[in-house]
Amino acid sequence: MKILVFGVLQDVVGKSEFEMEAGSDLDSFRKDLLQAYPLLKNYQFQIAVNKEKVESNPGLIESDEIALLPPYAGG
Amino acid sequence: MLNKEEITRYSKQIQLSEIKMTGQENLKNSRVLIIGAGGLGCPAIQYLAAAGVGNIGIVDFDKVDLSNLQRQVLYNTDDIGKSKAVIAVVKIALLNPNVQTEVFNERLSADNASLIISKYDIVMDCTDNFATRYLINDVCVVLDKPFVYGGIHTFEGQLSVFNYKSKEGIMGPTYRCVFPESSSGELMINCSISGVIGTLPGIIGVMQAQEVIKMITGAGNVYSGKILLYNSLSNIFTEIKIKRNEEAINLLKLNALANIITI
Repeated sequence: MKILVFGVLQDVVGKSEFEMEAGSDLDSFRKDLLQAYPLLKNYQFQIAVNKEKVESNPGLIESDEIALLPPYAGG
Repeated sequence: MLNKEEITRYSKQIQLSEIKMTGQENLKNSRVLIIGAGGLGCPAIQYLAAAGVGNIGIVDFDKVDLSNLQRQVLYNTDDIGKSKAVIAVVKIALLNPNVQTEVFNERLSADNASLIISKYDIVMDCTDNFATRYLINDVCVVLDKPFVYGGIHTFEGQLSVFNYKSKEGIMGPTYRCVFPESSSGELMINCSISGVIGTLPGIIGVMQAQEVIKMITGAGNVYSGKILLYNSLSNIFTEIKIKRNEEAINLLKLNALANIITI
């Protein structure tokens, strides 16, 4: 699964995109993500699946695309 | 009605079939509040004044600093130390004397936000911190005002129009529908800490101004129901769909009402 990383999260992850296994659903992906990058716990960010922000816990497949979206303070 | 000078001044816009004379008159009669006269606010102020927005309010408590000039292109070197909001309206008067301006040389706070925002039709969030962004969101939700959000981080920008009622009467999402929680601590990053390329707020601020012009004239589609992420290093635009969280918005309105009753 392709993971797109935006804003300050790129500094934490060290890249703007990477691949991760889909796991079963978004909750399990979130757990895997925080295990792989524990520092992400310190940041507020939202998750979009296939370019749509999700509130629920959808099932995920390898062809899905995830985006990690932090808010941008600067102006 | 536009006078002869205005018709000539705006002739290139009036020629556009999406604007015409009616759109230009709507611009003249509009009231736009720009909160933050920094990186995003400077280009927005210039383009909206040039386009003929009739009434522009500017909120900023800050003074021009040497380190601002790399991106806040409304100001000159000899403006250093002067009030941004005051200098901005001086520049507007030079650019387009038809524009009526109002200066709010103060920090937007819970005490003054409702009074200031209630005087305007459209609000622009050109601020540089999360606390003010949430304040603008909450006051605009309670007062039913649309606001154009711009945010920047190093080489990336975000854009959306929040709390916008479409031509079909459907209300769009708010800032809290995308980012529900107030941020704190490590998240309080603004340009003064993280650095920013000067052209980026120029690009995003002009895009914000464009959304304001579209809302006023009815041209095109207002950028509501989605958030745009722009990467200036790769020139990739990513669009993320977002939904309005009616439950959270109703709760926010109820809380606001409860506060008024308590007072």
